[in-house]
Amino acid sequence: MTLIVSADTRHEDRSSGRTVDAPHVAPTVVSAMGGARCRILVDDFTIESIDGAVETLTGIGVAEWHRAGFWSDFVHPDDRAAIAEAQRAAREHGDVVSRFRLRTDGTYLPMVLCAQTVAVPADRPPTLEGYLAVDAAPLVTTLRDVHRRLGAATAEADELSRAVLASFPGYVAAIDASGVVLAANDAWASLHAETGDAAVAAAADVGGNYLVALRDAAAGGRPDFVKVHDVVRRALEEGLERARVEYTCELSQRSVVMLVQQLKRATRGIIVAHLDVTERTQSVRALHQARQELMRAAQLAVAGELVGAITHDLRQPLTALQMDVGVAIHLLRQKVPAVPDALGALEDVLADELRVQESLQVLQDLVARREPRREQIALGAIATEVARLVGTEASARHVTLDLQLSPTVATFPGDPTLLREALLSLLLDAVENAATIDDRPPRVTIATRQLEDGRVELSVSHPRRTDSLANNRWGLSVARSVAEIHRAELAVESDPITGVTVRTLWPTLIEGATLPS
Amino acid sequence: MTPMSPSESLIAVVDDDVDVCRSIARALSTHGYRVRTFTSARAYLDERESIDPTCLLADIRMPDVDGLAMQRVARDVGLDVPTVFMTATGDVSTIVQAMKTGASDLLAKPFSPQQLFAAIGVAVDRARRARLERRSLAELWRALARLTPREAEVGALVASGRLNKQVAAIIGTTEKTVKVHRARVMQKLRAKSLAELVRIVDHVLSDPNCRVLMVDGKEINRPRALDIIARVLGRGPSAAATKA
Repeated sequence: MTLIVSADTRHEDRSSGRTVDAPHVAPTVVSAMGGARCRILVDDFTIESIDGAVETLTGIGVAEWHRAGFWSDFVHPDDRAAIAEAQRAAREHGDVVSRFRLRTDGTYLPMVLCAQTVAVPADRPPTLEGYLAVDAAPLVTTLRDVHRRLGAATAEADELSRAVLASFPGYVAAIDASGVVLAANDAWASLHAETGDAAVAAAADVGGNYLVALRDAAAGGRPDFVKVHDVVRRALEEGLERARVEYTCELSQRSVVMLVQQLKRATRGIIVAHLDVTERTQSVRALHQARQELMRAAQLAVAGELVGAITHDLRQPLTALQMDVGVAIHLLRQKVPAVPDALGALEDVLADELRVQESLQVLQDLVARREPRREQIALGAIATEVARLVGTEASARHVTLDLQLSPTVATFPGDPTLLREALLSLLLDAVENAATIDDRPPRVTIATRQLEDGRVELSVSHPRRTDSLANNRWGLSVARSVAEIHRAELAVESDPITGVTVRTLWPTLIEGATLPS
Repeated sequence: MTPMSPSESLIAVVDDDVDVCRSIARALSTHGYRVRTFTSARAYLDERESIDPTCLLADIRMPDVDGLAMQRVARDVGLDVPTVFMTATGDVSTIVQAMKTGASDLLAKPFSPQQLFAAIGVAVDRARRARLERRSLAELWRALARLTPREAEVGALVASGRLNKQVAAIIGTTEKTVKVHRARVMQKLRAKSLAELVRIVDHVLSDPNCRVLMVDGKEINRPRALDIIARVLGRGPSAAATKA
């Protein structure tokens, strides 16, 4: 960039009251202007000295500059008034930019006059106006273009920002590092108007200090404000990268999720979005309830199928119990009571009663409405217990139960009752299938195995070639539901020779904190 | 007919539940019955012939061989006795099947000692009557064994209501010869009248399939005369011979 510097070096000497010239300040002016390659030092439009480089710029020889005496002679006549006005304005305001044309070698070159008040050392006149004329033909074009594009881009960016903000389904705002709202979509204000706190509602407008308003509101103890303020404060003051908090608006009872995202810019700040999830929460609750009902129906279905087996298990000890009590009474009513024998019978009564309690507990576990539990599951013990339950049913149908339990299977977290129900369902299906074949031994195999990847395999096999009985898909559905809850895999393999195997793979470590219900 | 005392009766109890076996055995023993317990149908069938129980108390639902199948096997080899079934399931089809097998009674678990003793009493009484009937039948079989084939033929035709003349025409002999045969039949079977002869013939033909009678531990084979009578009267055995 080539510069032409015009410095009004006149200075009023306050002691004498005369106007004196101070050409020595010109280099200071040039230096303050920053990086000029050449300079013309003039008093007003009077040329005092001129650098040879000006010739390169203007095509006007140094001698011609000097002959002219006034550099304004080279300014386009139409621009002279403008230049004079610019100089005057520069003196008054300190800063001015003005366009003018400077005659060069037969043509006029578009220039920009920039004027700026420059401080000079104390032993020099205190102020002077410097004028910087820039060879501005390309610069003006560029600046104009840049300015136009910048303006357009800014307008576009603003519009885009507004559109983006407006397009958010929630209530979104950009907040600077001090907590002041920089921008927000239209919904943002409406949400905060519903909080019932006028200060928060007011601070939610652009320019308001959201953080301060939240802090004051949270001091009142309202749980929703406390939650929101805590997250916003941690994001702004502690640099929390992102956060998510769910709260219920105290006034409207709406369920809201607030998301906070740190802005990656030098001056920092955050984007805050509140999302109304009331409907979703209600849907989730409804889904949760439906799943609970489904699980309960499954439990009842399994329990229903097991009633025969469990009833059998219950009636056996009850029979023994009645007999033993009858014997004890009989022995004690004799003329010479046979007390030792009666005591023996009564001791057996206690054992019978214990068996009754165990059977009742199994039944109770199956039909009780409850939340899924999470505890360490020993698969072998559950398989043994379930096989015992199904044993009666299997025996009645002449089906052999074959337990192939690995002793090295790891325990894993889950709900033992749900797992018991899943295995019961699979076993009952398998027994039913196995009982209908007549070309091979009716055998159901329950096997456990520890896999190298840490998971535990539980499989139930029966030799029926196709698992096509119409009424035994329910058990598979129950097992699949339980597997999903535990994030286990379930696959059904059918082989024309070996029959059907339902294979389940149970993770011994479940990512995440809780079992979904 | 005097009832059997409990000590004369041996009750076989078959149930896969050890506790149930133990408690029932104790209850029956306390009331004077002799008891043998078995925890599987196979164990009972293996010893059935040697123990000769008065009656059987058996659970229906058992592993391997259930109570109903066990009774069928015992009956097929002529070793069935009055049976009281027990069931812990109580489904209708099981009850129907049990009654079709001729069960003396069916007890739904849990049952009281009184219900048990009542059912066992009926079964024991039934066993006693069956034993008396077998003895009576055995005596008739022994009498029938003394008949000649011609006497058996004449006896059957007379019992069917034919006149001596008709009988003579059928078998191709004289009426006088028929009278002689008839008199011997009446004498050997100790029948005092034609009506009594008819009752005896009906009685011996009541189980046309029975080939052997077990009485007091002894086997009595079906007499040849009985086959002749059955053939003449068209009431021959319809299936494989069985013991009774």
